[in-house]
Amino acid sequence: MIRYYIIKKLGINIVSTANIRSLSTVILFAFLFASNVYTQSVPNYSETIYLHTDRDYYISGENLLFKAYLTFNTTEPVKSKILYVEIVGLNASISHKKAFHIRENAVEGVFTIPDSIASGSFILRAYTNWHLNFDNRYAFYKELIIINRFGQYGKLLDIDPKLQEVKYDKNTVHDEPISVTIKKDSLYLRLIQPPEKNRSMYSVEIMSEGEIIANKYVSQDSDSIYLGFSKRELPMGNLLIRLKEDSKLKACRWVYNDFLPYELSLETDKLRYKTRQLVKLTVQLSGSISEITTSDLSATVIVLPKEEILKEKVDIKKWMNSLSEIPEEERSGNNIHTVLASLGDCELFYDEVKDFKLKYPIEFAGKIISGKVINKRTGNIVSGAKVFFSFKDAVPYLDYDLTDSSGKFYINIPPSLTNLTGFVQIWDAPMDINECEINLFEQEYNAINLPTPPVFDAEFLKDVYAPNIKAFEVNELFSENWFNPKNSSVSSKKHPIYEGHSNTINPKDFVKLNNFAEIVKEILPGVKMETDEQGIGLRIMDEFHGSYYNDAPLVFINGMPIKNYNYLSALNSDDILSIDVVRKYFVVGNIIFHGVLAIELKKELNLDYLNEKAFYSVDSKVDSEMYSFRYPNYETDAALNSRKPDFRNTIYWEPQISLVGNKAEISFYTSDMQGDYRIQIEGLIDNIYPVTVSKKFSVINNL
Amino acid sequence: MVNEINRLINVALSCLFILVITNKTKAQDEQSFRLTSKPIGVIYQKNRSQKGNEFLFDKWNKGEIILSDGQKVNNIELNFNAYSNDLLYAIKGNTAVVVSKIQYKGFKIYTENRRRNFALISDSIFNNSLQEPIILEVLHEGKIKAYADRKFRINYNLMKNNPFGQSVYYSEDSYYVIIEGELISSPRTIRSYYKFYNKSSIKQIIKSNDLNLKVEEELLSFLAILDTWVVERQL
Repeated sequence: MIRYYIIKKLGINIVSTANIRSLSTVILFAFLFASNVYTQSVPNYSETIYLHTDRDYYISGENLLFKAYLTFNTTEPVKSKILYVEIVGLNASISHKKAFHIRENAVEGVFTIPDSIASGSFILRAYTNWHLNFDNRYAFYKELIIINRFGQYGKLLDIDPKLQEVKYDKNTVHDEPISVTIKKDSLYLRLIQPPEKNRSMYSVEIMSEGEIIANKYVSQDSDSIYLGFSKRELPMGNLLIRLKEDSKLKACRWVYNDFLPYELSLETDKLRYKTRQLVKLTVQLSGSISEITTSDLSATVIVLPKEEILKEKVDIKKWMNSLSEIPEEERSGNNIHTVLASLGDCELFYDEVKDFKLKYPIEFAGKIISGKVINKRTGNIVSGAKVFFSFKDAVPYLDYDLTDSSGKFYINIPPSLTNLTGFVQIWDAPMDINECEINLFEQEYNAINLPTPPVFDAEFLKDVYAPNIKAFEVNELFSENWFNPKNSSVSSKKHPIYEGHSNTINPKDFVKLNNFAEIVKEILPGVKMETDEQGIGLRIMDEFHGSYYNDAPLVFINGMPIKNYNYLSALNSDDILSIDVVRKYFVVGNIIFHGVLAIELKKELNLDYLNEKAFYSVDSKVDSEMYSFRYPNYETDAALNSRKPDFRNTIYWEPQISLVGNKAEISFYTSDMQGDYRIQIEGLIDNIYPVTVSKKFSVINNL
Repeated sequence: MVNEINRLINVALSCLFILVITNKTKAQDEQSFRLTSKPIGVIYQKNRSQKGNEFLFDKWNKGEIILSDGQKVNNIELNFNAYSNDLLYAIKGNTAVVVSKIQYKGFKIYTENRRRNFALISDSIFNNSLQEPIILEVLHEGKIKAYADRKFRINYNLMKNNPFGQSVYYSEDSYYVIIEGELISSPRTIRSYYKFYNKSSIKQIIKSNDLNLKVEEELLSFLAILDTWVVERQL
């Protein structure tokens, strides 16, 4: 019967008396095979980051202002929504790290340099979770000089030989059948193994972003083939050249097209200025202006130090071009397809989909907290455990995940909850939860191949930047804040997850009650508290049916869900600010809770008193403040003659400049510092094309 | 004996077949469930003393919820409680969850005929004393915005005496039209639009198309035409 059932369901007509068991087995294996070939589709995706900072040198305690540009080399937005910025010291120790929200492919952020940092050179590094899956070569990094103004100049450290920069020898001969060069703006292909005589057709394909954009048939005896494309005709960025012989792929090669259709120029209204004088700039873009859809630029004007120690200036154009110089020894990248290609077989990645698992998932909405649950004694992973996430001393919020077959969990923190300390705890598990523990995954970059910043004598640094240190200290005496958070328009109203379904009781509206049992009995309608051998039990009455639920409710104290209610017994009216009661079945995802009780205490919650060792603090803070840079205005005589000194090191910072037509006008006042100033403006056009311009001018009082 | 073995093998294979398919489906569901905001709300409990259907749609239709952070929860069965102004989604057969308003900014329901768009509006322009956000159906969104408040009210006479078990709910839709940030006082009367556009042009459109603004579809056609015009505030 079953045989016929299977066959009828599959719609197969058997006309012969063939072995039906064999047929069923074949069909079953066909389905099994189809199911297991469900592979994760590999996105043709990459992320490039560039940070435009206001300066390259800082004094401890100052604010590092930056604008991060993120691009996917198309007009499409990048998927990542969280950017990590860190300052890395000489011995690869991370001295300061912060997370920022990415908005519309950019971050305008502030990084306060800690006062405790010792003088020296550092690396400023920026990356997203995407980059953590690959070699750190593609994260953004630049060198900084930081001076400690308290005289804590630090010691010179021995350089770890492993951290020496890897040198790339461009003259090395590689065992590649083809090479591609760009000469005088045109593409040339050279066959290192020349073709045999009377060879037939070769076809050459040029691919960009996974699509063939051009191809050409060539039939030639010489080893050098002129492809006939100029840089202008091909898209900017990485191009893949594939050589096929009789339709079979013979070889492939990457080449980087650095042609940029746009150029920025900058004009000041004068060559030299006095102190506290107005400077007017005109920024102009040349190129195919009519095709521009977006322009996103940032500008900084700084007072240059007495001597510029960092000779190599990084700008957005140089940075993006440098990403194309992939040393042959490091065959990797931050693009899955380049990684796969580096495995040797370039036929694979555009013709087949490979199962490539990302260790660090893309943070496409908010910060992701991840880790795994393990058995404390045996070290084995625990799958099927419920891990709850919430914030302490905050509005009640709850999210959860079930650990998978490898014991891992992933929880996404919503972008609206940023400056709060989060906690994870094991709520439930297939075994005793006291036997389980959580190992959190720290997002860390390996230190290997990080370029070693140049080492300087600390005393030498002090001499070079002495006027700037003095300027900063003078400014500090006058508590003028050059830098302010913008007024946040976000309402401070609290939104617990059960909003709209609760009744709130404030104990201060009643007589003082000495313990929680009295509070429940006297002022919490629909709640009952029982004490037995196992401790305190709570039940909530359904507001519709008038009967108590059989199971315990979800109880929050200061935003943290707790299971052990013994802590409650000692609370009295003076400890409690408010109690919210939800007398309905409350649903979070797949979990149904039998009512909710949320207690807000007047003081911070002390986790030690809960006897709950299973709370793990997580790094959940993400900066999303908007800041404004204030410029003094010396338009009036009173302001011009004011005795308040103006020794700012950063004279002007504007992270959002959009061109109107092909121009933008900028103006600002010089400070009281005499010397050389530098203007630097850079950014992206159409979210793809980097542009940069820089200019110096002098400020002298006696003109 | 051989027949018996064959039979057992076939049974085992069938069970395995079913297990593979359901496990794969479950694994895919869990994978898509992770890292997305989970719907939060309370289980809906119907007030049995009120006869009738408080939901806007007779059937529960597939739709999507657009969460506050822009993520979408797709392919779930939704309905709109027009009496309490709540969005609900169905889980496990007869159980429905009222989704918390803090979680979403809109939702779409795909009925047989068309897609219905709803948005959670908190703008005080709609009601000077708007205490909390309200769900409105989005009828038109161009330069002119038009919304419908799909509201059910209760006939209290039927609550007291209802021998035939009629539905106590009756529908009372109201409409909101916004032109250049200003709320139109009576969007279904022609005179309301004279302030923004030329009077004779409006009359011409109404006459030539034979439009009755009291009919929702005709009101929308009228607004679609106005949306192509430039606002010329009349003194």
